[in-house]
Amino acid sequence: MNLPSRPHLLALCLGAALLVGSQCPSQPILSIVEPVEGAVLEGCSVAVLVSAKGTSEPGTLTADLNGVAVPLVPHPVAPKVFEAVIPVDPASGLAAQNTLTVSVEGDGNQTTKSVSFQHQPEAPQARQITDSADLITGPHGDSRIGDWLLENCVARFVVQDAPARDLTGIGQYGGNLIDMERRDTPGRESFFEVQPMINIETVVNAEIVEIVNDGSDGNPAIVRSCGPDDPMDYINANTLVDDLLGPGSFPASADDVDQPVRACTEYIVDDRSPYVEMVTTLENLGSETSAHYIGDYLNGSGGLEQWTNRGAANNPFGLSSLIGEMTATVSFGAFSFHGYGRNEGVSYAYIPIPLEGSPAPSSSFTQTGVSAVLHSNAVISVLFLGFPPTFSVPVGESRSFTRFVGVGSGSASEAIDQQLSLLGTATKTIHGCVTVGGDPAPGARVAIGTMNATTIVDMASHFVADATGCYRGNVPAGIYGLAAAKKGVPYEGGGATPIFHSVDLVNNDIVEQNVALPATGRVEVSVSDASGAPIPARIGIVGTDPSPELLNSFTLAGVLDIDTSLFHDATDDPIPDGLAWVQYAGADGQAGFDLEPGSYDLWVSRGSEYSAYSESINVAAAPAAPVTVAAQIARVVDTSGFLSSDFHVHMIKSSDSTISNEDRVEQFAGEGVDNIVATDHDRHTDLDPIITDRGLAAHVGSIVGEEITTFDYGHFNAYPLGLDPDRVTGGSTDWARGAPIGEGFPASCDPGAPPLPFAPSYTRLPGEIFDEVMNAQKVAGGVLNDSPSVAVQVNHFGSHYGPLKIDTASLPLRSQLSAAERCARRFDPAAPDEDFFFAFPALELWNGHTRGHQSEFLDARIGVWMNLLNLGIKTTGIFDTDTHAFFTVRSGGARSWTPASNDDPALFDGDEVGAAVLAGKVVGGQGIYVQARLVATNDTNNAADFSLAGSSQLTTTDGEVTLEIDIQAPTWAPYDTIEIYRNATTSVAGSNGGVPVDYTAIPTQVLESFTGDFNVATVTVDESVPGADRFESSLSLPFSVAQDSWFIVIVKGTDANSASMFPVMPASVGQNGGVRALGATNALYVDVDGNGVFDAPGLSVSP
Amino acid sequence: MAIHSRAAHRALRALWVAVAAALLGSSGGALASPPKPGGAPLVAAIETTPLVVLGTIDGVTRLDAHGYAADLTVERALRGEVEPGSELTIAWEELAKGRETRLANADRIVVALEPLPTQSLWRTRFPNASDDGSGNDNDRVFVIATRGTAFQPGPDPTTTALLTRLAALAPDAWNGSTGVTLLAETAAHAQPRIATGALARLQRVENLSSVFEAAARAEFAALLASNEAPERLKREAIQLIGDADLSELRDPLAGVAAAPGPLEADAWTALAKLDPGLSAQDVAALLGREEGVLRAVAVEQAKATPSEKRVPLLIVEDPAPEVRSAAVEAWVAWNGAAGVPQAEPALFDVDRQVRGHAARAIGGVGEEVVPRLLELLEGRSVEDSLGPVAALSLAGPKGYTALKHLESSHPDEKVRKLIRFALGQRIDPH
Repeated sequence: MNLPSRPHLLALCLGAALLVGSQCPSQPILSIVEPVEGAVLEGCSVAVLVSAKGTSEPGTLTADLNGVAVPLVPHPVAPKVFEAVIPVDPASGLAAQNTLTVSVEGDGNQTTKSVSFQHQPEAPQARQITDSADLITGPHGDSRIGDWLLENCVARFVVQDAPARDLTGIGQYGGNLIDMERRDTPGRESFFEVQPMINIETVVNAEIVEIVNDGSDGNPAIVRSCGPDDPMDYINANTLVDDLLGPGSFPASADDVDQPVRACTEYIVDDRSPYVEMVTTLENLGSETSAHYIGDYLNGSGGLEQWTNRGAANNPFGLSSLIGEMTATVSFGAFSFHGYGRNEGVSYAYIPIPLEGSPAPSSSFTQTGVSAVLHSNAVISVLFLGFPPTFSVPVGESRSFTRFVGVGSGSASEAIDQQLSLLGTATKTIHGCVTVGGDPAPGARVAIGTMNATTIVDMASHFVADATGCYRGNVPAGIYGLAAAKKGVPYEGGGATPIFHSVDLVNNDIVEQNVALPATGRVEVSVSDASGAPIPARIGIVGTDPSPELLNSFTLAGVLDIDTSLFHDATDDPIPDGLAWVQYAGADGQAGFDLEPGSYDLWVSRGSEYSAYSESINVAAAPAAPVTVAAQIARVVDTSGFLSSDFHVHMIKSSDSTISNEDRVEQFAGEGVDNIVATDHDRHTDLDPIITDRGLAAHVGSIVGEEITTFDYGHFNAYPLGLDPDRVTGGSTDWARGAPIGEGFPASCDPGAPPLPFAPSYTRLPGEIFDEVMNAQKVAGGVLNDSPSVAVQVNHFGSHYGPLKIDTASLPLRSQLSAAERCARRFDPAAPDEDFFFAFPALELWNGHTRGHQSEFLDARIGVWMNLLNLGIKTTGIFDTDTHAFFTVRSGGARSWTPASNDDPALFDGDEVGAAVLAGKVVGGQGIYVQARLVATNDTNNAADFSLAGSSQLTTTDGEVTLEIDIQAPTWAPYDTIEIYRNATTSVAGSNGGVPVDYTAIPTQVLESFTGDFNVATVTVDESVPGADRFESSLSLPFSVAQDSWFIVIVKGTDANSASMFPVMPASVGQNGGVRALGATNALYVDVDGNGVFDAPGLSVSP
Repeated sequence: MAIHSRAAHRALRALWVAVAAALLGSSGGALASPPKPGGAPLVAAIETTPLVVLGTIDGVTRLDAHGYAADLTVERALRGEVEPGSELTIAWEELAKGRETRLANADRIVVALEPLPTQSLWRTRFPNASDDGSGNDNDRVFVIATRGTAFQPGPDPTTTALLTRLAALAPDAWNGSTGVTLLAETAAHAQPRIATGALARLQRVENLSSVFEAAARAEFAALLASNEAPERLKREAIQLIGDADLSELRDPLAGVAAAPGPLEADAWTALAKLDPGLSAQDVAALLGREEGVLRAVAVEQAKATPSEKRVPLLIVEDPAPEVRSAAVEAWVAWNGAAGVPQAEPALFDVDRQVRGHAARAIGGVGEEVVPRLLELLEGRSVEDSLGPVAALSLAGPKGYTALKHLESSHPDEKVRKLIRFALGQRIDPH
């Protein structure tokens, strides 16, 4: 901006003096120095300079540009001169033709001046990225050299280069929109991808990207990607529908049908909009009219909350719409994704343009974070009721569909503003500011919408207050309610519900509505270990939130709907019942947070190996001083020689997790897990740089893994894995095999269909997936996963054996899928039944933190594992969390311990972790740490255990063995029962289509402390730290074994005899008081016939 | 690629085309020789493009991944100032692979042309081109309008003459009786793709019936009576008659309706749209017809006729799904909530699409049907729950709340899963 020189300012003063005579001016003298009347300005912003002299009262100075307020600030040098820089931005009001109006008061007079000027922004540009400075970065920034950039004054967009097969969720193909950012807030990219959909299960597989217009002509910049249709491997919707409703329910015309089409998508960016127009054109190359269910696959995936509005105001259908829900199967008008937590300040919008002539609104269905958007059709009608496509292309012709994808500054309202603008809907304006105790409240949430008697039931727009605590946006005309909230702050009025302000936007075009939230309290916690050193930990606030998230309280038959909320997403990641807040202290042991005034119990904990600290606190509102707490905790469980790991952890690069890598590592450091196995869906994520950056290397480490994520026959975790720097995914495993472009289709499931003009492509069988992990190559050459001990586990394996109909108690082990069911899952129909079973090294027996997760382990999975053991298939049981969220504290659930030559989180050997899993040397638990050892009774040097140097199998000739059991647990994790399983009998617990797939098991021996079977001692570990105690038990149990046997030990607290672990383990508090402690070993084996191998005892299934 | 010396490059161009054809392998799903675009879009393009030319193609050349160019020797200009015998360079894009180029050497075409776009891709292809097509031969580059589709290959004399007359129309004549009559004449006599384009253009005329004069009606009547006109073209004309309420074409339309054949249902559908709709006698007669599509037309017209009372029976008893669908939609539309009891059976129809229509109709009534839908869900299998669940999802906020309740409380896991599906929520949390 060009500032006026001092002579210029002097001239202004002189001129003013001349106008009013030689005396001091007695009225306001107002002058718009810049821009001058009639100016034609260029660039990405316009400088405003205003002189307000004479009797002008600076506090009364106001300016607006085309009706939008301009925030003038004092010039840093010149007195009584004010300035502003107006950027190109829909919110700034800057347009091609402009009127700037400035007013000021003084001595009871008001003076107003106006100037008109024209503005031409810099031309938009398109170019292929050759310089890393052009890359869009941030938590989900995926752009690379070679991708294609579109930019204007406001925003930048990246279309991925093509072809680029790299299997990861909906991002398996190139040519799609992958990154977006506002130019004024770079480095915050938090959106995954938009993949054009051609026919539900098929999408555009772009094979070329080119610049149609680089913008040098001053017209919109255009990048175009083109390609044929190909299956979306990540989505196989027919099995979802047909498994639920029976074969043939899914529209056959959209089931992996190779249509004779080619599609091109043009990405169009004009000179001043923060969105890209996407126009996809389908060209019919067939001999019949082609019909398509068209739309997009959307995946925000970043640290975003999601909201879809209900659609057009006159839409008779559609469900209510509040934050967090994904209820749009009937209709929606705009998708919004707005950042929260670390990602606050960024937002995204997706707005479909209705198909001409089609009365149906667009709709969507969301599964595991991915939204399938159908343009001008209702998902529910299509998937349930077989409604036909609404988009067809005549022979030899082409037809297009359009949507706009935008990037904003953090509010869902920006999507609404864009929707209303694009559709030409008449709007009214709402604006205002939110304060907390009189101070601006950046990040406060503001909801406006249609009310019932008590609350908003249909949200018209939703705001996140900006850095000044203010908000502004447009809505259709209406009488609305408006309320605001901020986490950790009482509602306006101090009650349990907010005050709803009635806003009349029928009789007013613009309404200002401010919200004054009361002052709140604050808590500051410092955490140290037994030595007094700071240590990461979790702080849990036990109590009732005085201003709970306002849920949809529309009632029916007295039942409350509890899943949708007004201000924040309370659906995906709720704080557990009984807790009012959860916070983690980082490497410095410090944590501070706002908390509503009230009385609470504050708990500090660090997972299963540490004691817990608690203190009652009374929080008062500012200006009262913050509550300060100095907490000390101590390691009370001795796990020397063993390293704790969570083998199943999701972060922001997973399609269904919004948790940043930073939050995740701080959380695991606070939960006392030594090793995070990063297992994003179809991604290789390296957390070590983040761990180092956060100063947490002494507390937590990580190894690279991957959750290989098929759509409908299971997920598989592999670790430790390598990183391929030449792939966005870091080297995801192509479980779907891949094929030449346009030839990814399996043979039709309709035996009467004509054969494909190319070799069918079938998804990989389980064993082939394992082989792919082991043999994958880097782009630049060389083996990708080069660890000598890569382990692969079947995750939550009901989702593997179940859909494949594998009965682990029926020989030979095989799939009992029918030919049609195989075809539906894109399998090679000629594959032998037995090839569907693969003996993966490990099974994820227990993934989670709730009573339900424990039940899955003990009531449905344990018997499957034991069937395999009885068949001599030595398979390692894995205990982990599968955490996707944060506040649920799932990360504090089950974990596994493996032997380590160095159990320091900073120094452990990742290969040892994999080797331990392959060797079956794993014990697991939630609150309980249990080790077992089998000793030959007559030769104590002959033993089997889980140690690094030991063996999990011993050989005896007399069958006399002693099972030694050692149990430790913090005193907040009591236990009372030990179950011993030896060549156990199993029983069916669940089936799929008549094929038993779930089994529980019957313990061989049960010991109960409350009946005196064993003793639980309380041991003080460190007298200097209050509460640094543990429970422990040691047992030696003799067995005479007549045949080769395996032994497994499970230790638990039972509802009747042990207290729940709340609030350290806060899950399931509504069920018998919460979750109980649980621990388990893997199998130790006895070879009694002396042949040196474990001979399978054979299946034992209870009828 | 710049085109500097036309003659010198022709042999090379032929080679290019051959190489391109060899490179353009068959992509998944593409036919060996898919139909070429063109035809219909020419009619609308004539209205706005500055240059419409009859000429002959030569020297088809592939420029890059998608760009093509050719020489057009002008026979005559239908609009614009181009001398007969002059040569223009015309260009277009072939975004599809596996299809012959839309133009081939020796093709005689009528084509609507636009100045070369200023977009960088086009300027890279023709770096010496002028902005307006002026200048010497090398600079006179045009693109085929409407994304390369505004051309008619092999125009017959009648079509050429009609296109010439269309090109001569004043801009404000297109939506008046003169233009409408000429478009009707074009629809009746031009080659099929151009005729289709004329019908499409007529569809865009506001208040078409007010400017659809006798001459135009005569052309349409001739088209309907023609034995040579393609069935698809006649169907489009019939639909236009109904959509635009061209009531004065009732008699020729009735003639088509009276003749058994593939257009009978279309004609009855169009007749039903003409004010004041079908007579009670027609409705009764159609309800007695064997073809379900005809009975469906009649059902929608049965309001306030003696046949109206038969509709509830048709909801459950008609053998044709399209009739049951039409019946349930019509009945609820006429009667609102009071019609729901008779419509309920359709929620459990053997045909899922009938259930869908029933759900749309009943759910569209709004929240007052929610309690009844909840009753209907009790004890149902997942298959039988489809209709009521879909209806609830369409019944507004109260239906949504009901589904949210049932999502956790319904005793059947599959129904709960179905409801989660309907709510668009996660089924598999992993």
